[in-house]
Amino acid sequence: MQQLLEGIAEILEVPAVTPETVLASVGTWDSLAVVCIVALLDDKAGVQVEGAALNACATVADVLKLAA
Amino acid sequence: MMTASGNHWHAVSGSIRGVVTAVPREVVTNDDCPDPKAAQEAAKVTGVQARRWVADGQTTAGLCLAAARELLPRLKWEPVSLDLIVYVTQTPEQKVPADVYAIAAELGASCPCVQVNWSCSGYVAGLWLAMSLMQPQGGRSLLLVGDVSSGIMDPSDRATAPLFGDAGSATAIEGDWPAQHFFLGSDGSGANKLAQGPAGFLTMDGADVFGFTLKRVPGLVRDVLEQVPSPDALLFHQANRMMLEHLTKKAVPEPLRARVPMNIERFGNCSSASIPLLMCSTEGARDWRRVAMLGFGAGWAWAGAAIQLPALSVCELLEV
Repeated sequence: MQQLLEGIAEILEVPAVTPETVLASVGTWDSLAVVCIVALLDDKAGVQVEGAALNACATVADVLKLAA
Repeated sequence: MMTASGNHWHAVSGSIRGVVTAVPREVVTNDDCPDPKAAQEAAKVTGVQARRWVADGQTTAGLCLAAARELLPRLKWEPVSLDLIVYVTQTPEQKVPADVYAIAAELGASCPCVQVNWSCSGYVAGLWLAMSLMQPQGGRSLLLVGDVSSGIMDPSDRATAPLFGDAGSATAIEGDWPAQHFFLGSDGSGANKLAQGPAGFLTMDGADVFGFTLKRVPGLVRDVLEQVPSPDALLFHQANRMMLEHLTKKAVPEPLRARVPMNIERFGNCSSASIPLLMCSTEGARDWRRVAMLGFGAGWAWAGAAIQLPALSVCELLEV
């Protein structure tokens, strides 16, 4: 999970995120970030997710659930 | 015949004799884009630093025609000797009649013509179609593949406006070579994910495009590499740098990863013309004898090929 948190923080260009981080509160949460998260989840968790599923995520915890 | 990866395997004879790709002369950098900041932001993911967009009056047909006018004389092929012209574009000038007839007339050819609106899989699928239509008798065919995506982009769309470039190509094919192997397929469930919307502009759900490639491209690479295990180059459709790097890491065996050229930094995503543009803009391409080609995009549609090449006497990039 730590790898995913670090990866998400890097994509969002912030020092760190926690499961409670609200995605909409991060200015860099946009369509490009969603594309990068698709790659991250494939690379680190071996999971292929659809864009709609990611767009429905409100928090980092929601993204982590997709990787579970 | 369907492969274990779910691709349809077709083997047809044909040989690429030469390729010319034409791009508009003017370089459009990210700073020249309508929204420079958005273009720079997008470049972190897409890798696109510059692209070519047509000037007023330039068209897809014009780019392909310029490429053909360079290619045919260099091969000493008279236009009347052509037995077939296949034109692949999703940015035609008009619906009726198909633009390809005017192109043929401009060239001075009188052969049968086919026009198909394939997208980013279009070059590989076009090779398959052109070679297939020349079975079993052989003969000469000219494959023209290109798009002027700048004509269907919403300048305010941060996803598409900085990504796409314009290009048109011409490829000469003769039907006298042992079998070339093609792997093709489609999945129309993605039809609205990368499409021309009601306003006429291209719309794209980038995450779902990526999801589609993750689902389909690794199997496509696997099938192609079974036919050409150690290609001189793996020519991927230049979709997006991050996507290409990810696909390379995921699907290409480590010893072959240095054989994956990219040019998206200089030309952007040139849709169906990206693979011939890659051939014409990569140093050493004339020395390639076996290549893997991987095209994928709107439809969803995908087409891969294991292609044997003769020594290409013509493999040129043309600025018009």
